[in-house]
Amino acid sequence: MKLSVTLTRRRVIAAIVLVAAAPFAVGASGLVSIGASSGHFAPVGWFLHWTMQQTVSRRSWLVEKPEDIDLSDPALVQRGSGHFATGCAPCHAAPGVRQSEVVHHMTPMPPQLHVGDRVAEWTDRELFWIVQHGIKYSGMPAWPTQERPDEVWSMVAFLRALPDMTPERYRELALGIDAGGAPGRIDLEAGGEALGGLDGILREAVADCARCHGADGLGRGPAGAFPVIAGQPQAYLAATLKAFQMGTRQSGAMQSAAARYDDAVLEQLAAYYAEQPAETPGDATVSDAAGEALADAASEPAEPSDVRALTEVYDIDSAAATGFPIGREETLALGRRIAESGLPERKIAACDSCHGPDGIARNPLFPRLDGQPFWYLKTHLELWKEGHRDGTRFAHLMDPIAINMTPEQIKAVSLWYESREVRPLDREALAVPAGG
Amino acid sequence: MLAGAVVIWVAVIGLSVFATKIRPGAYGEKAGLRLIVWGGCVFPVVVLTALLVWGLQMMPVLRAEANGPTIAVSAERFWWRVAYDVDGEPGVAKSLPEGGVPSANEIWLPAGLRSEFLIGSPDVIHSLWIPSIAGKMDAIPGRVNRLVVEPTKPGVYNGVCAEFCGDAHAQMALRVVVVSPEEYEAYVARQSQPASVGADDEGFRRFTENGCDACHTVRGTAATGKVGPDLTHLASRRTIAAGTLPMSPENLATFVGFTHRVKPGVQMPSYGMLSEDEIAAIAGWLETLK
Repeated sequence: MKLSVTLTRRRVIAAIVLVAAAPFAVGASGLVSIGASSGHFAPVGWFLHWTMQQTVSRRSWLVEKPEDIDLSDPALVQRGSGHFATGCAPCHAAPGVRQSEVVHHMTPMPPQLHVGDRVAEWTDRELFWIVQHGIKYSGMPAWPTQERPDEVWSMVAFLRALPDMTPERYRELALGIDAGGAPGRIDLEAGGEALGGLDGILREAVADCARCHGADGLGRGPAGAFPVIAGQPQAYLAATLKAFQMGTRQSGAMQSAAARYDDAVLEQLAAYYAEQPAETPGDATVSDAAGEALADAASEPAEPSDVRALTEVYDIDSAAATGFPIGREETLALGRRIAESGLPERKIAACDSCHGPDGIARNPLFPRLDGQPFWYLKTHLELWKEGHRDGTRFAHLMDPIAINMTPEQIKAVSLWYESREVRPLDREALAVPAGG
Repeated sequence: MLAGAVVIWVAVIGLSVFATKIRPGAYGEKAGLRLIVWGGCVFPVVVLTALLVWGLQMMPVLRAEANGPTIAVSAERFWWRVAYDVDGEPGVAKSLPEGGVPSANEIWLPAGLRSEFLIGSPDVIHSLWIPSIAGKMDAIPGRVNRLVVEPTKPGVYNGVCAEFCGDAHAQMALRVVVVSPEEYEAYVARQSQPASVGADDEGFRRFTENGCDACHTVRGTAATGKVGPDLTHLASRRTIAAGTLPMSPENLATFVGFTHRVKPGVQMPSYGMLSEDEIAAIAGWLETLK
């Protein structure tokens, strides 16, 4: 049998209209099985999953892991853990946390990532891509901001550590519960007793913050895993929390954390952490990250005379883009020079003019940098350099400064502030409300 | 010079009229050869050699030593750092000498004296050009170029950056004020004085609490930043933002609040996040820095 159709203009138009209308007819008919209760028809389920795997694989080709990211770094694992408990565990479960019965009735059902080889089947960059972008139609959300790859890498580090994690270790990492501690008890270190005076929502909120930042605001886990929020000016903390809440400062972890509370609670949280002591005279420590990034030995900061001598010895402008400084001492000396005098010829203002105790006393919206972890300062200067860092209404003042800094200068000044002792702030001056 | 031009013009036009109207027609080969040898070789060699000798004799005068002040000019994206009465050492220098009386974006010169500019740059290549006074001189990072100028007529002249240097290149101008040597001395003496600022001045308080002092110096106060222009005698200058706007409290407020709208690409961040009152206080205080 032979079928022949003569193509006329009218028939072609009619065919196009029919083909275009067909999906609407199917969609309107109620025949599409969108109910989660029925699951996927097996071939359809296979095709969707296969498409997802292929897409993740192809699209992750462009992802590149930064050289200084080590996924086995315990600080990175620690940084990813708190947000896993908040954002991931409700669907994916966790060691010692059973998957919700509600989640069992999702289509597709979120995998339990700590079980079997559900994480191992993906490469690092595929995991990065999935965490960064999420997966459409599956209920897997994207990271709350696309501008913080450093946070996504910490989550990848956590996922890599997940399959071998004991329930005790998970509770300690993500929930701040001591091994063997009673459920709900917060890991209280220095300053923890202050919690006793807090009521209701604030107590709950501090407990929430403390899972990562500690009740003392110095950060839990390995040294320097989290930025120091203890003893920061209250106005700065409040403005920053509100910026996270509004999404005007980018962070997957902090945007979702700050959005859980209203302004009044955020104000109280800022007041609470501003009161926690951060001053640790003579107890300057250097994080592993900084230690690895730079050469060995001595944490004694260089004297000003050394700074002078160095520039003379090398007969090189220490503002030079590369090739200087060479060792740890020289790096600290350069960092100190940037912090205290700036590099006017490179259009870099002295950090201390705003971030030193005098600057903060004049304007409590400037944060204290003393004792902040190396990676935190470095990462955020890099974010500013790339235009991915907003914050309080003063945050854009850092744009030209960060843009004018070389990677070497960023490392040097970050190392200097991490290793310098924390200078006390004039608390009386800070008690005065910020000027507008 | 006009007379010479007229003579040459008459000669050339006369020759062409002679060749086309008075005696048209071909010349013999001998006449043509004579014209080429005498008119095309001998005549230009003699005349140009004489002119070259005469011209070279004038060169040493142009390169004569300065007998006036030495002024360091650092061309920076996108303004001019100026320092009067610096000690310029002879020879090629890698970086501008330090010291002197700092100022910015306005250069005063004594009339009738040969002043020397030491011109450098910390970032990219710029070029200092004051068309009515001298030719261009490049500002090149890592070396100091010298330019001796001898302005003769008092007045206010415009200068510009004559080498493309980035976004705000077109707004990198300066004013050059030529005055009598006595007035020049008095001006530099005034510029060397610190500002008189009351510690409780609201504008000054706003200036420091918002971090302006991290980049700007106001001598006589705690503001010692060296990144941007020295503001000690800001209001004594004719313009703000390197020749971009005339000096006035309104324009100061506009520049502080809408920096990047006034001068796109400028290194100074906009302070639009401050309230109008705060900006007005800062602008009002800056206006007092005569």
